[in-house]
Amino acid sequence: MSSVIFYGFAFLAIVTALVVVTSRNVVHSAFALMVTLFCVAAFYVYLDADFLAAIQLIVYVGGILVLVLFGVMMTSGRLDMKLRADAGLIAPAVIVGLLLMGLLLYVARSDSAWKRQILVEDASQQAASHIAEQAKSHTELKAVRTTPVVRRFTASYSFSEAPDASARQMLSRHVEDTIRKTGLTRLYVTSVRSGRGSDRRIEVAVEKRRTTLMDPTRNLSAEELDAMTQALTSVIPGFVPESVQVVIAVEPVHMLLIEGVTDQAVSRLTEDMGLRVVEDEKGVVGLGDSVMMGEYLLPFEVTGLLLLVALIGAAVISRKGVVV
Amino acid sequence: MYAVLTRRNAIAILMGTELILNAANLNFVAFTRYIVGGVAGQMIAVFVIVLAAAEAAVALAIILTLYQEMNTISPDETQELKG
Repeated sequence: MSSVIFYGFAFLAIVTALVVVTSRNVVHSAFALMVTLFCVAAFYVYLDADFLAAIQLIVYVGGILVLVLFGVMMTSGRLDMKLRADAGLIAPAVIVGLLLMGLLLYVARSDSAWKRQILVEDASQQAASHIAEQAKSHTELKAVRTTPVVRRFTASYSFSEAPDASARQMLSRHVEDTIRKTGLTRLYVTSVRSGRGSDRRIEVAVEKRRTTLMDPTRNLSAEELDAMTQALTSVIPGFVPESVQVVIAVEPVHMLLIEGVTDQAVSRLTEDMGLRVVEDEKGVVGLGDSVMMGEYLLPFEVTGLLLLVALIGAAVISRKGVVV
Repeated sequence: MYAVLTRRNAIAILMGTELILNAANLNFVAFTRYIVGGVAGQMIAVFVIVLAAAEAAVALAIILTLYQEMNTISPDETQELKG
C-alpha cells in the first residue's frame, strides 16, 4: 500500500514536471509546479525527513508559488494568456474542492486512518487469548498479535589499545550504517561506552527508538539474528577484526501488540485485566516513526489548510485586481 | 534544464530553476538517507530551499521592474544592458 502510494506520487511528480516545462500557459505551469513541489514534499516524508517536508510545503508551496503566481498575474497584461476561467468550470471545481475538503476532514476525524498500537506486557502469557477473544466482540481491537520483543542489542568490541573518543564516535557511526544496511531501519545506537572492567572494550548499545519491537509484522528468526550478528562483526574497517567480539543480548519478552484501540479499550485492558501498557503509539499506517505525520498530524493538516486558503485567496484577489 | 534554456518567458525560466533545485534537494536527501547517513544532506537541502526562496524573490522583483520599464518579460527582447 505504502509503495503503491509512493509510485503514485512519483508518477504524478514526473507528469506535472513535464507539464511545467512544456505548457504554453504560464498559469498552468505554475499550478503544475505546485503539484510537483507537493509530491517532492511527499518524497521527503518517505525519506524520513519530516522537517524538510514541512519546510518544503511552507516555503515552496506556500511562499514561492504565491510569489510566482503574483508575478505571473502582475505581468500578464501583454501576454496573450487567458487568466479568467470559464464559468462552466466552476461547478466541477466546486465538486472537486468539496471532495478534497471531505477527504481532509475524514482523515482528520476518522479512526480508521489512524493506527494506534499499544504494547502490553503479557507476563502470564495467558492474556493473549483472552484479548483475542475480546477482540471478536469489540471492534475497536482490530488486531492482536503476540510477538517476542528484542529489547536491546549490546555489541562489545575489544581493542588492542584503549580507544579514544573519536574512535568511539567512528565505531558508533559504522555500527549505525551496518544496522541500516541490514534493513533494520528503525534501530538506533543509543550509547557507546567503555566496557565493564576494561577500557579496551567498547560496548555499543543498539535500541529501537520508540517501540522496542523489531518489526511488528513478524517474529525475528534465528537466521536473521545470525545475519545481524554477521553484519555487525564485519563492520569496522580500521579496527582489528579478529579482536571483535559481538555479543547480542536478546531478551525475548512476550508482549502483545494491539492495533486500532480506543481509549476505552485501553482502560479496559489496563484496569480490568491488569496489564501494563508499555508503549502507546499513534500514527498513520505506513509512515513509520514519523512524528509530524503521526502524533502531530492534525496541527500539521491545519497549517496546510491555512496555507491553501492563503494561496486561493491570493489567486482570487490578484485575479480581480489585474484582469478586468 | 530544458525550460531554462528554451522558454522565452522569464517566469517560466524561474520555475525551471526551481525544479532543478528541487531535484538536487531530493538527491541530497535520498543519498543521505540510504548511503551516507546522518542529517548533513537534509541540512544542505534546507539551505538550498532558503537559497531558492531568496532567489525567487529577487528574480521576481527584477522581472516586475523589467516589466514596468520595458513592458516585456522576455529575456530575448531585453537588450538594454548590451553595450
